[in-house]
Amino acid sequence: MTIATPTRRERILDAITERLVAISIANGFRTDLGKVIVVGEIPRFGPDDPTQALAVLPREDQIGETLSNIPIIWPIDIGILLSAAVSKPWKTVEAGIHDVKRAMELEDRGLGGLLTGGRNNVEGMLRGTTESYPRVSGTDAVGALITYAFKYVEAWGNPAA
Amino acid sequence: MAPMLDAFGVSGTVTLEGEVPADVTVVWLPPTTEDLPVGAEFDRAGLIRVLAVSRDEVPQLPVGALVVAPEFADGPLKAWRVDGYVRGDSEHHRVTVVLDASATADLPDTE
Repeated sequence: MTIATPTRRERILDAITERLVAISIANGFRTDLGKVIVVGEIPRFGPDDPTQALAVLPREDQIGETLSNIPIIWPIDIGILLSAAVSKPWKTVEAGIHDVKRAMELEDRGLGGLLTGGRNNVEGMLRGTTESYPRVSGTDAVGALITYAFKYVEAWGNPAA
Repeated sequence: MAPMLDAFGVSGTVTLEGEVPADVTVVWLPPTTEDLPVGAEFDRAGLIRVLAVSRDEVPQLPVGALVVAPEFADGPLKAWRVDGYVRGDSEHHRVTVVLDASATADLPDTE
């Protein structure tokens, strides 16, 4: 009996999570965002749920020509949710953005060989836009969304390759 | 509003910056639940607390004022910071408040 190999998509998501889980104050970051990470879901958190959390949200990919090896650019959003001090909420948002960028943007932009390069993307991983969500009167919640794009090649009929 | 203040109000104080605390009756209005932060896809449901205070007791209730009152009758005293204006009329103010944990810790009866 053979054990099915995880697809390249699964391994990319695992690699992203491995990087994000390092985010903790004990590890020298500014938040503890790495303690709660959800992947591919948007939980309905309430007042008694974690006040710091990350969501890894895969988006629709963009494909090149349908050859035997299909070039793919896969956008993945990293959602940040935090509780902020009422006086300077922007500092909390910026701390969260800082931590995600620092954790994600390591020297190895190819995620250990999972990604492929290109003319304008030598090592496979790109950062897209960053959007922040301000504190609303009467609340302490702030957030942000950072988009990354992951470029790789998937073999026709063999998504694990 | 006056009957509501009498029936459902809790005793508290309001302190404006640079002034001494004024005794007031605070009425907690039903909180609203919003998806927060607004605009984010990844969010959480959060309570926005709203209270009302008579204008007879405090003519002005600006953002930043400190309200000390229990959330319910016989509850522990907590400190709340006025964080936004909801609406008002000739008789009362309605404002959103957030818990001021630091000021609450300094209160004498928080046990």
